[in-house]
Amino acid sequence: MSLSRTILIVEDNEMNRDMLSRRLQRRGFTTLIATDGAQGLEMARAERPDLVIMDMGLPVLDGWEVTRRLKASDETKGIPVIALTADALKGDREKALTAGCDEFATKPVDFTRLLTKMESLLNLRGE
Amino acid sequence: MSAIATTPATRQAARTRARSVHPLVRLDYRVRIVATALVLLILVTIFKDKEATRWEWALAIFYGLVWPHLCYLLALYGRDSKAVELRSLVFDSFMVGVFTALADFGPLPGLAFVSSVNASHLSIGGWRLAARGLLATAAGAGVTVLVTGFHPNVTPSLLTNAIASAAILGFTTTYGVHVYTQTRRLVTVRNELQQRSLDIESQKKELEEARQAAEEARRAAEEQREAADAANAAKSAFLANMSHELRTPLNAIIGYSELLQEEAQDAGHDTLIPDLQKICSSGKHLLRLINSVLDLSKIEAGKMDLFVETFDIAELVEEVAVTAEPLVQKNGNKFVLHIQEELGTLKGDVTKLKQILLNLLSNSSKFTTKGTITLDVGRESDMDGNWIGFHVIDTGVGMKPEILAKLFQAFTQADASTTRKYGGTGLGLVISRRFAQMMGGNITVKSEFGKGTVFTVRLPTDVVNEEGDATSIHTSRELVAIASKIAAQRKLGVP
Repeated sequence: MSLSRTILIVEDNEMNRDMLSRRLQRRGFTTLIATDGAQGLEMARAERPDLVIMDMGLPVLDGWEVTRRLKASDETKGIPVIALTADALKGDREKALTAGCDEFATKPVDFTRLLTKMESLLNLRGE
Repeated sequence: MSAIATTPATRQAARTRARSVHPLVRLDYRVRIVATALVLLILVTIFKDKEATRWEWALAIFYGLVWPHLCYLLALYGRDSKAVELRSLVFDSFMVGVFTALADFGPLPGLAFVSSVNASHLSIGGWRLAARGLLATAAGAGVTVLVTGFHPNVTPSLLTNAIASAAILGFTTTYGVHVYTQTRRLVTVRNELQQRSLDIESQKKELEEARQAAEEARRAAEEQREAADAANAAKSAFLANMSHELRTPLNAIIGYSELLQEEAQDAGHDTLIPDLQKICSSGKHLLRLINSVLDLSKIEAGKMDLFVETFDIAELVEEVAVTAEPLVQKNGNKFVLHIQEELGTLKGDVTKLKQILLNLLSNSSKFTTKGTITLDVGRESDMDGNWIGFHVIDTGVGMKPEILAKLFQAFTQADASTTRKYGGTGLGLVISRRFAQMMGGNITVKSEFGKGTVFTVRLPTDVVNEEGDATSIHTSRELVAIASKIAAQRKLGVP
């Protein structure tokens, strides 16, 4: 179902990045890695991934700003974005959704739930 | 007829009497009775020798016996008693002139007559009034001379001279004594005033010192408050940092142990899986613990915010039930859901209510095996208002009264072995109750050892309405204040 889907992971923490990318690869996703906001924006524009998993507390350009820019451009606004934040505060959730994120997950990531969210977004997009 | 300055105190007292006259009038009244009587007495000794006319006698008797009282009455019923008195004094002077002439200008009687009024004039109005009096006296004498003719007799009888001398002595003595007492009184008053102004000075100084002390205390309190605020802010910042710093490595521990489980399974290293599961579940337990401690710190610091929105109750309960179902059924329990029809909506913090219900359901599931766990939701009302009641009923192990008593205390579980056997942080109930209280409700518990437990969450259906405006947006602190007020009011009413 999700074979050959490309996921862009924008995350500055090396372990989180590695973990997420390996677990997604095990499930057959192709993963792309960006380590800061600017790089993430560039890769999203160049590679057109099927979905972006974006940490919100990024260096250079933060996740909020990157998402805003992705959603402002006609070329990239169709790519679903899942926001990852460190704190489970309701404020962050509102902020993420306002910035244009399609979904929201808090760290530590509950992988099963993240997969459910990803699949529903990918299916929506695929149909 | 004296009227030397009276003290403010006696003037004040005079004014408070029924029909009041100027104190000068009362003083002059008493002086005048004596003085005119003396004048009459002197005149009698003269008139009896020179065969005075009936008019002269009448005038002398009128002046000696009637005039003082008439004067007083005139002043009493006059609009301005002092002005009337001053006019009367001029009349006195005039009459003194008349009698001096009628007494044939005898030097001692004349001196006695003039001195009876002159001192009064001087003491009341100074030189001006005295000069006016002397003019009136001269006029009186002149008019009398014109009517009766000028026939001076500078050697009156011995009796006349004696009485006149005594009268002069009396008048001068009286004024002398009066001046003396007034002077003494003035000195006393001046001393008192000096003392009083010294007292006022020292009081002023004391007040100033007290004011400075108060200001100092206020500043100290302000500084302490600022220090406390700063400490509180530092604590909050520390907690927020800790939260982040603790979660990041935990993230890795949980994530990698899950990843390793999957990889171990693929590689056939099944013996490693239980150990990896232990790492993973310990990590998750630590995470829950950190989250709970942070929640509790936030509540204690008043920084836990309520996000109040209107939501459909039945929808929320069904959502919670779906999440809780696998948990409840873990120990072979049956899950029963009772939702009253047409529950409608509730204003509150959905996330916190979910957290409360999941916590209670997970608690009940832990302590119940092969039994039934029921979630019963319905509207309830009592004298305190309308409520939504969420009842989590289990047929589990139940609790003894002594355990029930400390159930809602932080870090208290039924006993230490409970933690090992059932897990949990010991903070779930504390936090749940505080959340319910923030929303204006409460959590109560009933339990029977060996039979089961009922946890009841009651939330007011109109948290925000209570303040009169359903649409107003309160800051979280206001809401907390409202909620705790309501909670305090209802504390006794909740079973």
